[in-house]
Amino acid sequence: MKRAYLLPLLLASPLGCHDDAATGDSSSRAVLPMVALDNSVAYVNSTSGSTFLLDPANLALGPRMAATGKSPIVAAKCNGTNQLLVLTNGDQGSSSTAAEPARLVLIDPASNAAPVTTDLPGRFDQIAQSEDGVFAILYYGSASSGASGSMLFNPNDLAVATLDGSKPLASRPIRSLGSVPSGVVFSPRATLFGQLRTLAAVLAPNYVTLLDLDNANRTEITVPLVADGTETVTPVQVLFDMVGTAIYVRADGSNDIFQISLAQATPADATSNDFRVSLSLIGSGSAPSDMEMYGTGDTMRLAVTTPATQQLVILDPTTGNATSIPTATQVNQILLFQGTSPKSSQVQDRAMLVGVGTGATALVFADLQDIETTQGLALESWSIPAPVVNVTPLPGNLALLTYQYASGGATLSIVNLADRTIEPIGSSGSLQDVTVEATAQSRLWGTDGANRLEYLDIVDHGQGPLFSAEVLLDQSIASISPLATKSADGIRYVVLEMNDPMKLGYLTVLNADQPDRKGARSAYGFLISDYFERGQP
Amino acid sequence: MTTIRHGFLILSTAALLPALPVVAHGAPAPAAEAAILEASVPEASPTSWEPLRFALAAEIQTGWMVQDDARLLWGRRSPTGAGLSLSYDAPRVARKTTVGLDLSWLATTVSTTNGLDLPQKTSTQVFGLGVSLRYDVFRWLSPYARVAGGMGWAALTMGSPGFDLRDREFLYQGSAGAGLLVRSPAVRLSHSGKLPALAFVGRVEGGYTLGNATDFSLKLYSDGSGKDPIPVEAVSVGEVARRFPYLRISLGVGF
Repeated sequence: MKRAYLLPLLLASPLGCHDDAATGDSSSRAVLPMVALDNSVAYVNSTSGSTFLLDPANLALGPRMAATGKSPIVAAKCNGTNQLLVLTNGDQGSSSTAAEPARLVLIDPASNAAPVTTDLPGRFDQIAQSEDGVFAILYYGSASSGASGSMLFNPNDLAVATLDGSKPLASRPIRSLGSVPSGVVFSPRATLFGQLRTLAAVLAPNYVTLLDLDNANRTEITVPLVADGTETVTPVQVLFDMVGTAIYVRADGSNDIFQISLAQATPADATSNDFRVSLSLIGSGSAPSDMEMYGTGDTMRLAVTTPATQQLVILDPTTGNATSIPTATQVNQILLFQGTSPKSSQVQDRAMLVGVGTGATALVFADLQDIETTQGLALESWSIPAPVVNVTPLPGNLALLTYQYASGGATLSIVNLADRTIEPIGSSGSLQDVTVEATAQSRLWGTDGANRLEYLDIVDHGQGPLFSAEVLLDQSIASISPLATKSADGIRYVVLEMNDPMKLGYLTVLNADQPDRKGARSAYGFLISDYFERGQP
Repeated sequence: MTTIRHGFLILSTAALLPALPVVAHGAPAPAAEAAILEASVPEASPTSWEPLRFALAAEIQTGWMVQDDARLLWGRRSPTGAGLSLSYDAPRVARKTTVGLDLSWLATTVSTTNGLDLPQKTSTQVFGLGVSLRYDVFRWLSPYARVAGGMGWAALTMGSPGFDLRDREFLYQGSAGAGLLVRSPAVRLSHSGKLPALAFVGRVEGGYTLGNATDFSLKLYSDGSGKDPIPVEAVSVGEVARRFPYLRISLGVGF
C-alpha cells in the first residue's frame, strides 16, 4: 500500500499569504482541502455542497460533479477503498429553506451512480475511520455550540457507521462523565475471545471508553483513568495488544502507562459485553512521550521514552517491572523496526530513538531483544548535523529525517536503520515542502514554494547515488499529491495544487513515474464548471 | 435684403412650428424689384415632409433576461447596450406604406461582481440587418414591424488580472418587433438642392430576440509572453440560452 506523508517544513510558508484585496470575499468559493483518492482527486465546496472529482486521465481535466448535501465540513478518503467520504451538517431550515439532516456521504469516483447517503442523528463535526475502512465513528469535537450549530446537544453522542453498508448506522450516547471526546482510536481487526472484531477507544480527558463495534447493541465500557477529579490526564496514545487482551494508554499529565486488561466474561444479556475490563498503572518514572509494543505473549514489552529524564524505559506489563536506561540525549519518539544491526546479522526487534523538536543532535539505536539485561550496552548514539523536526518511516527499514536550521533552511537525511548509516540529501534553504511517497522506490517530492518541483528516488536504499531531477512549472506550487494507483490510461499521476488566489481550482498533473514539463497539463477554474447552469458555486 | 431676412424668419419659424403654413409678409413689391424678389425667394418652403431615403441613428437597447442562467451571465436582469444604425427606405410600395432596410451595430458590456464574488465582464457585439414595413398614419408618425438577423460575438471574462479566465463565442440571432417612428419635417440645407434635406428621426421598438446559446469555455488568459507554456485546459461554465424581450430606442437624422 502506497502512502504519502506531507511534511510542513516551514511554519511561515509564503504559500499561505494571499492578497485578500485581490481576491475579494471568496466565501462562496470556500472549499475543503483537496482529497487525493487512489487515482483521482476531489474537492468539496463547503458552501454549495458540490463535489468535483477530477481524473487526471481525462484529457480535458474536466470535473465530474456530485451533490453531497448542505454544509459539508469534512472530506476524506475512505480507508481501504477508493471512495470519498463526506460529512455534512445539513441545514436546520428556515422560512425560505427546507431543513436537511446531517449526512454521511460516500462517493465512488469510478461510478456515475448517485452518492450513497446516510442521514445522521446529529450534526457531528469529527469523523474517525478504522484502518480497514469498515467502521467510522462520528462524534463531536467540542462542547461549544459553534461546532454543531446547535444550542442544546449532547457532545457525548456519537454514531457508528459501517462504511461497507453491511450494518445500519448505530447512534448512541456514551456515558457523559464531564468530558468531551478528544479522539477515537481503532484496534486492528483481530480475534478477541473467539470473535473477529474491532474495538474502538474513545478518548476524553480522564476517561477512555471502549466500544465493541461488531456488537453495536452492547453497551460501552467507560474506564476512568483517575480516581477522583482532582487531576486531569488526557489520553493521547493507545496501543492494542489483541493477543495479550490488553490496551495500553499513554496520557499527558501522567507519569504512568495505563493498562486496561480485558478478561472474558459471560454476558448477562444481549446488551452486555462478553468481556470485562480492569485498570492498572505501570509507572515509567517520568512523563512518557512515546511508547511502542514489541514481543509477544510473555515477552511482550513496552518501550517508553521519557525525555525529561533522558531515558528509555522498558516496561513488563505482566510484572509491572520497569527498566530505565539512560539515553544521554533527549529523545521523545520511537521508530520500531525488525532488522539486523552492524554488529549482528540476527533479525530482531530494534528501535531508533529520535528527539523531534527537542534540540537533540544525536540519534539513539536500541537493540531491544535483551535490553533489560544488557541495558546501556544495547544503546548506540549517532550524531546528526542538526536538530530533527520530523521523522518519517520509509519502506525497507529506512527513515527520513528532516532538520531545520535557525536560518530557516531545511535539509534531509536518509537513515538506514539496519546499517545505521545517515546519508545526507543535499537541499538548499529554499526547500519548503517535502512529500514522501512510501512506495518501493521511496520517492521524495520537494518544492521551494515557487514553481520548482524536484524529486529524488531512494532506489538503492540509501547506499548509492540518489537519483534526482526537477521540473519547472508555470505557477508556484501549493501542495504535491502523488496518487497511489494508475489511472485508466495506465499512467500514475502526481497532482500539484498550484497557487490559486482566486480559489477557482488550479491543478497541474504530471506522470508520476516520468515527470517532465512536456507531459504536464493544467486545469484552472474547474471549481466553477457549469456555474451558469448550476446557478451556485 | 428684407426678403432674405424674411426668408430666415420664415425658416426659423418653420423649424419651430413645422405644422404652421408659411405666409408672405409685407405689401406687394414695386415692379422694379419684382425680378430680384423672384430670384431671391424660393418657390417652395425650406421645410417639407418629403420622404427621406436614409437615416443614421444612435440607439440603445435593453434586453430583459428572463432566465436565471442569463441573469448570472449578465450579472443583472436588464443589460443595456448602445450602437448605431443606418437605414434605407425603399420606394413606397403603396401610398402610405414603405419598406425599409437597416444595418445596425450594437455593443453591450456589463462589468459586475458575480455570485461567486468574482469580477465578471460580459460583452456582446452584434451586427444586424433588418427589414421593416412601415405605415404612415401621419406624416410624422409611422408604426412599423421589423424583423432582423444578426451575428457577432460574445466575450466573457472572470477573475482578476493575472488569474482571469476568458473566452469569446460566435453569436447569431434573429429578432422580431414592432414600434413607432416619429420624424420632424425635413429642413433644406441649401436652396440649390446640392445638400440633402435633414430631419430628426426617432424610433421606439419592442420585440423578442432569439439566438444561439452561448457555451463559454473559459481559459486562463495568457499574454503570450511564455514561449512554451504548460497547456491549461479550458473550463465550461455552462450553456446559456439567448432569448429575451427587448426595447430599442433610437434617435438620429434622416436625409
